[in-house]
Amino acid sequence: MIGEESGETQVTLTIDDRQVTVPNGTLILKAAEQLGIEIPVFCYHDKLKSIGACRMCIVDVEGLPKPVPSCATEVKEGMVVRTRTPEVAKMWEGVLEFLLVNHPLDCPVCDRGGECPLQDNTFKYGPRDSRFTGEKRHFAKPVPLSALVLLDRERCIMCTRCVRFCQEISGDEQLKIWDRGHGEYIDTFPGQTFDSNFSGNTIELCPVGALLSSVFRFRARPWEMKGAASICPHCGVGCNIRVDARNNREVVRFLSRENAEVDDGWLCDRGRFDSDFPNSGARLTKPLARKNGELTPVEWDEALDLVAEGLRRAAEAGPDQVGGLGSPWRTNEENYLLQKLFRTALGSNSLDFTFDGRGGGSDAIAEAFREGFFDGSISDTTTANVIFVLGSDISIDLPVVDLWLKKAVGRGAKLIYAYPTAVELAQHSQLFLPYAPGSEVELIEGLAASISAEEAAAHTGVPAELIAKAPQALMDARQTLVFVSGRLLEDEIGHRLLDALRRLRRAAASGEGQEMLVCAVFPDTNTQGAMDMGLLPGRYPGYRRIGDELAMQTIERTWLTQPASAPPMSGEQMLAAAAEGRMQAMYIMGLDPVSRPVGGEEIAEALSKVGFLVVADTFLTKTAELAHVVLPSCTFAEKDGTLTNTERRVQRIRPAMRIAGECRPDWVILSEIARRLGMEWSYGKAEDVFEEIARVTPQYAWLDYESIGEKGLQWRTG
Amino acid sequence: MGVTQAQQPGKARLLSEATRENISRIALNYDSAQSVVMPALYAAQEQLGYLPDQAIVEVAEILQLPPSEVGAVASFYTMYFRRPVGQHIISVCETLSCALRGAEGIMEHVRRKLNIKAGETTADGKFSLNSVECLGACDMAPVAMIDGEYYGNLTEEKVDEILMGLGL
Repeated sequence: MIGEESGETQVTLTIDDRQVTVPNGTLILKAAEQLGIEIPVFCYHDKLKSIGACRMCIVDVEGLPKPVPSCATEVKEGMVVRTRTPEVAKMWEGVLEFLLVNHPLDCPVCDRGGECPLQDNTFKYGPRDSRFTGEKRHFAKPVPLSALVLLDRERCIMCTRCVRFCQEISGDEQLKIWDRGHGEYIDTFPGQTFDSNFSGNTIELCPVGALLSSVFRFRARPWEMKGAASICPHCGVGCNIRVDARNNREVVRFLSRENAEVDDGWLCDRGRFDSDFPNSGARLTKPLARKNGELTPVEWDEALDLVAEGLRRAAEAGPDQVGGLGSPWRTNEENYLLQKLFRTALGSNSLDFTFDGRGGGSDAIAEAFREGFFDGSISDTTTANVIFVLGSDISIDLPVVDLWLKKAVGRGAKLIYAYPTAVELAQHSQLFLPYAPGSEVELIEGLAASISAEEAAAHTGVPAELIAKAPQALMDARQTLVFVSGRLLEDEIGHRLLDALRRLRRAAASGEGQEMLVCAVFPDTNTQGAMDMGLLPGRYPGYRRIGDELAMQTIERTWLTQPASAPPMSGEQMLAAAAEGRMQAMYIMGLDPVSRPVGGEEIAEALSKVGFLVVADTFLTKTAELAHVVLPSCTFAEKDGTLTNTERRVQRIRPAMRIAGECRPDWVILSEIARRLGMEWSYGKAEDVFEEIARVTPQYAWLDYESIGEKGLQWRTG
Repeated sequence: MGVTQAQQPGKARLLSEATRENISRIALNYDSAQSVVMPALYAAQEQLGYLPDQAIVEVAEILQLPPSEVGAVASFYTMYFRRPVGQHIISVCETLSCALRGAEGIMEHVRRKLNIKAGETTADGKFSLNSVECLGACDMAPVAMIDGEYYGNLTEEKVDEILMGLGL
């Protein structure tokens, strides 16, 4: 045991006549848990500090004159605890009777009814009846604390989990106890809304139906719902979620499915509350084909025949005239099959997942991934002495990592935050370096002390005395963790930035036992996976260069046909070619570049000149409106697959509800097209595709669905 | 601890310079901003007569604390007033010792005399009546605190006399 290794003393005690040995300092509650003895709690929560407020968990300890709260009492050697005596039962009954004095008992109309700790504990340990005959407290209800979170004060039992979350975890101090005694209630400051990136967690923490989600309220009862273990589709963290669907028909909510290495049990509001899109009536549910200029519903066979024929003809004109765009919002399996389709049936290497310009950095980052430069993980925030963030507003890019960073600062890690403006996390940093955009390389040179602080200051606009503080901090740190914006790495300066980071690593890991870990920040859900799968111009899956003999041989062994070696075009180049009328065909999967706030019109103009445009998506997006054939895809909630998060962790999504209309998962659609193009693909399920990915992608070689399991696994090089 | 005089632009300040200086002076006696909250609120209330939300926000700004934290403290204690109060504040104790010695009757008597309920202020703005928990003077129960002064061993006659003295 870890405790023994670190010389931590062990304590043996007796609970309900059974002995248990636990580390000194363990709470009675947790010791009982180890024996499988349940003690009811309300205010106690594993992630929050013990306050012993609700008294639900009181137990009898031999030799003590009064019962003690087991959530706030540490074990002692030889302690004798009893949780199942008539006296304890009576006390639990009493506590529940008091908690229920003001509780409205409106379980039949409460969202929590059926999965409510208060209800469950009352059934298990509560009194049959109440002796209270007075008038219960009344409040206006529900009170909208924000557009997302509602509060029913009559149901509240003042456990203060929500208040403590705002204090200890999110640090935004939004919810407080107001007033006192029997008049007390939970509220924000008068006139303010519950303004937090993480407010939804308080709903999940609430042990009664007091805090409610405006998205979920009255949508389903627990026994109508079935949950699928999946991954939040809204950013690159890949928080583990349970997708609850009602009667297999509609997704009604996302709940946290704690992954101690990814999300620490929390979700951000963007992730939690944007759960309704799979149910939208505006979804595409049938293939569309352009007839007489109009997109007209057609049967799948007709649509797929059209697509296969259109792509075949275009490819005949030349592989430089066809291209495919995958998506950071599609699974690895789907992005993989897209590139395979183009590299086999169509002979093209023109693959990407964005129309944005790729500077020299794109190749540099690919090379860095190939060689395993990026090795940092989100959970390294729990051990790092110095955490250095460069060029990312983490609170927006990877919201839940914001909480990891605050937790790290809370335990004494030094946060160095380099960002052009004073974002929220900068206020939590020990050293904030507001640099002039474009001067990232010089900033890092300054931190690595490879140029003088004065010189770095002249380039970056950051005062030299601030820059000068960094080298010592890095030198002193046993472990340094760097989060660097992937966007910066892709820019023109990417090469130089990576070189600078290598120098920084040498400086910060020069001493005995020192190390510097680096994690790239990709805000979109599966940018990492899309790159891994070879949706990069010039790279096969696993970042191997096009034309690399060895890579081509391994791939050919699996694909049974040689992968294309034609010169690739990036998304940007494809767009330019399209604008000049040189693209015969394009296949766009799960991407809507035309709807971009900036530059969308030019993209639309270019795409309208593509000879044959296919768009596979879940909605009739502006991009889809330009297509010759539109194919209705499944959302993440209707299919199997894997996503790779910003720290290179491969995680599984699973179907949560039945497929909407005639939609199909993109991997199925692509397989159908490939079959029509004469390819002998035989994937019966997404897992079959993944097995192939593992064969041709070195980083994924040791992964399969089983080993990925519930918690995911990071890919590794070599 | 750090004390700032930061002002939100475009917002008229309620707390006077004198009050702000007073709070900064008080802060010197404490190690943590949390500890200063109560005396700072008293200082603000001394100037304004009560604690409007804006005053709480200003105290929070001075102490560099979240307004919610300062507001929650202000709402907890009965001696902070979050609504305007009368010229004279009558706080009648209704906790155990006083209750046993007839506090309920005293309260009822005051209510009748002033024609208001606990928590209210007379229409002329002269008197506010509060029901409070133990004032710590059980030896002279029943007790009331009026404008900061203790009055013990109360009887209805004694109450009449006091109220008359205050110009009722």
